[in-house]
Amino acid sequence: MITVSLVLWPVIAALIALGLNTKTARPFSIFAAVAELGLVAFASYQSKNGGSSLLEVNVPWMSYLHTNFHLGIDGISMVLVLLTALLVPFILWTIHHDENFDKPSSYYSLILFMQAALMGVFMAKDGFLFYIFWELALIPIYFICLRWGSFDKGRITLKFFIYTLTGSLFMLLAFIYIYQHTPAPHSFDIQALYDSARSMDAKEQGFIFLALFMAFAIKMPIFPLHTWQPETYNMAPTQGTMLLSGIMLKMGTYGVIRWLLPMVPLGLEQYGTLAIILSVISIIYASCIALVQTDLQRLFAYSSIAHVGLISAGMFTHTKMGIQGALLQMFSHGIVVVGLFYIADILYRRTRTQDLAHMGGIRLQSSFLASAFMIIMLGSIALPLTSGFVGEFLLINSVFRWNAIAGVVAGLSIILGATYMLRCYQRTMLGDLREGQFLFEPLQPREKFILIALGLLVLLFGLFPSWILNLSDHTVDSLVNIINLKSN
Amino acid sequence: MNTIYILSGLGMLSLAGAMFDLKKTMPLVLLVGLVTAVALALVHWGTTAMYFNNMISMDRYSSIYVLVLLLILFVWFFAFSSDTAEHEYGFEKMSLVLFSAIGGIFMISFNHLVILFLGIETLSIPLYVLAASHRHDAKSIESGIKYFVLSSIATGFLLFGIALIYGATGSFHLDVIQAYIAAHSVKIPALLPVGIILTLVGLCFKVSAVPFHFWTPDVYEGAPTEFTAFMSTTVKIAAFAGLYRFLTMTADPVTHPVVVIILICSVLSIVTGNLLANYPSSAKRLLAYSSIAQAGYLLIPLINIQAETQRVLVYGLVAYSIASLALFTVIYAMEKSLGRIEIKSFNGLGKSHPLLALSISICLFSLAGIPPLAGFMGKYMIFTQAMTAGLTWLTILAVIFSLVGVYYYFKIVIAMYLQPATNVSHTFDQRLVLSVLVLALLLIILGIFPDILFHL
Repeated sequence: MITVSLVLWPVIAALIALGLNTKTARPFSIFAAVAELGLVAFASYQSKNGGSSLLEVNVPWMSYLHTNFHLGIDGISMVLVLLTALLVPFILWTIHHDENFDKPSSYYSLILFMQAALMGVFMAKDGFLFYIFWELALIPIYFICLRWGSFDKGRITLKFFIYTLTGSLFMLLAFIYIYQHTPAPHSFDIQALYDSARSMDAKEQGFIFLALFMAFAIKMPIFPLHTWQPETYNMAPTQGTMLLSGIMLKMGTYGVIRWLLPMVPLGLEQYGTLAIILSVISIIYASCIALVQTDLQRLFAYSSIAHVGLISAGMFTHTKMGIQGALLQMFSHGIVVVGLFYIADILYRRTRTQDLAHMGGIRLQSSFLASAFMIIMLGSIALPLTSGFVGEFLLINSVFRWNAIAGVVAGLSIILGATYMLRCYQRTMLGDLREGQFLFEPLQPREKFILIALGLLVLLFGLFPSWILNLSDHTVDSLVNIINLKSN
Repeated sequence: MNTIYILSGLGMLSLAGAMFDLKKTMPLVLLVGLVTAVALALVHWGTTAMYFNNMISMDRYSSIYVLVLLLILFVWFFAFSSDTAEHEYGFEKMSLVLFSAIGGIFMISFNHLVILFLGIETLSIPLYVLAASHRHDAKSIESGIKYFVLSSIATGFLLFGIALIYGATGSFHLDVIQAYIAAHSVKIPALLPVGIILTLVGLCFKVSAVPFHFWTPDVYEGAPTEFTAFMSTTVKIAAFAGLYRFLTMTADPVTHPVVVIILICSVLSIVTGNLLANYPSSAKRLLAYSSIAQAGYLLIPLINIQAETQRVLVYGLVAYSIASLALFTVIYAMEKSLGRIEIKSFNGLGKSHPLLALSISICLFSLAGIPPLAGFMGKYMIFTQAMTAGLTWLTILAVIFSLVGVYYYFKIVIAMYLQPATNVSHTFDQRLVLSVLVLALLLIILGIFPDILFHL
């Protein structure tokens, strides 16, 4: 029941928000998102007490397609559901609308609608349902980018849309193919799909692996399928970027853990190496570009590619350590990246530029912002005691055990990450004031509060990473067992 | 059968109404008549009967299509009849629409090839007139003539094919033909496959499949929009229903050449329709090419007829027709104040008419095949059928070209939400907007609960 309400409540809230006026839409939607967080907290409390019947719903949906409306929360889903529920209130709260802001109520509504779709993606236990939610998430973000994005948004959003749709259609083809090999009457249930795909021969599994990998790799994105990402992050409104990088990106990584690794062990055997190599390439590639970026948002975008590359490399080692590290790092990356893009937004609204060359000396004007940026940045470069550290450590360790060279190369990401982030920090916060620079308007209480909260979260999950690790522990154990059973 | 009587009666009534000044009441009378027809169709649901010496078969299969046709007709009359009544010869036009629909019902329920021929002619002849009914618009007249000439050629093929089938089997009755094929499955005279292929050519012309599509863009664009809306839905439904019936009855042992021709038409339509739809600036032309592409998708399940094919076809047709009817209704509504509608005529609609723009987006998303809308479910079912038939390559091709489809459908979405309004703000007829809203809502409902249509 809770699972259904987790999807349904944001939809209802989105519809209500659509009808509200500018003034009331904001408090209402934040309230709705906080209520959703409460629901998630309740769900996690339930799952701790073994109340799994509340967390699972499975009713027939489309008789012809043999599809069930099957939602369920296990440990892996819980991490992502929690992340979504945690970030959306912040994302809604960071919206800064002045008089020029067009139709705020539909903006809030679309974000809530997006939340519903994301919740669905992370809970779906039926292939067809998963696909529906997966695509559904694309529609609100498309409109968010299309209506509130900056320059050249028509072309860029279309590119983004077609790019991701291409990937997902191949995923759909793979699902149909597996579905048709399930014993009659066919079924889209996750277990049936697992069984069916695992009984195929190596060649078939290889094709399925490639089709699914393409869908997930585009979403993450992994080199060389990343070309939509920097442009889109740059063009999207701040909240759109937060949604894209904070949560939507995790759809890809979650998809790998849930729908790819246990599905085709023989495919993994053939192409797992390729996937890890591509991931490692994308770490290095994106880090190097980030090193020379002069645009703040683009820099964060490329750093996001680098981080997700590491997550992906860790996952594809299909060890418990790698997957646990990936889940923890997904969680941490979500919080950190929302913080980073919020800081970029705060800076942009004051300086009207994203060019590093035109910033500097902000520490002298707002030491608060400089400190907050410092904490969040340290989370991003994975300093011990910040949320990024344990995850990154587990990931690099797992890659290292898989292959020492790959591990060393992936480990470079920490050094490179520190370099570009510190360079960015130097250019923006430190140094002297530029001549003719605008007076830096002091931070509003709301902005301070959000930054404090995000900074605390970064430290909190740095000190207690076991909270997240414990959530998913059992599920990851059984998942790794399934993967390692190979093809019998 | 009742449907045919009622529609004929309504047509006559409409003609008679032209003599009196009934502009206000007549549309209402027609709507009531259509509701009666729907009600009677539902009352007699599930009964099977043959009429006219086994020439027409009213079975479960045809009653589904008749119901769909009647509902489309109802929406059409709801949206357009009060405007049409005001036109010059408005009542005559409405009666022509009704007569054309009767032709469609013949095509749906024929059991005799002569009825198929009569149905196609009854369907088409009123449409030639309607396409040319803007007498002062050269484009409209051009479209009427073009449709007439090309359609006549196609009918010639069809008739020739029917004659050959008769020559081979000695009968026009589908069941007799089927029995003949079953009895002579080893040695079939070459006349028969040739006849079947020629008949298929005639029918493919009606569904506007490539390479028999040349009339579609010009006729769709030139004809008055309300009749384009009618054409793009009713004709497609009737022609696909006829095609399916014809194929199930005749295609069995001579499968090979027949399947190849459907396969070729399908591939060509998907490729050509989707590619050419990127170029036109006129919205009607864009939709014409899109309808060619959609016909290509709908032909896929016919390549290999399976137990589920019939329902998949119905679902796909309904999903397509709803979206198409809604979009042509929108274009009609905009034409009233703007004249020729181009893609840039949609500029700024997202701001000035948010609800209407949302509905238009839903229709376009559905045509593009984005879940969870009906268009996606339709495509999904079609792809599943193709995969079951072992046509994985065709599915991949169709998937790739449906991505091309996203590009041109989204041009309109982008115009609505991105471009500043260039035109003076226009107000729309409430009735038209309501129709579009209801149709868009139907697309969502059918998409989430496809079982509604599947349990028919």
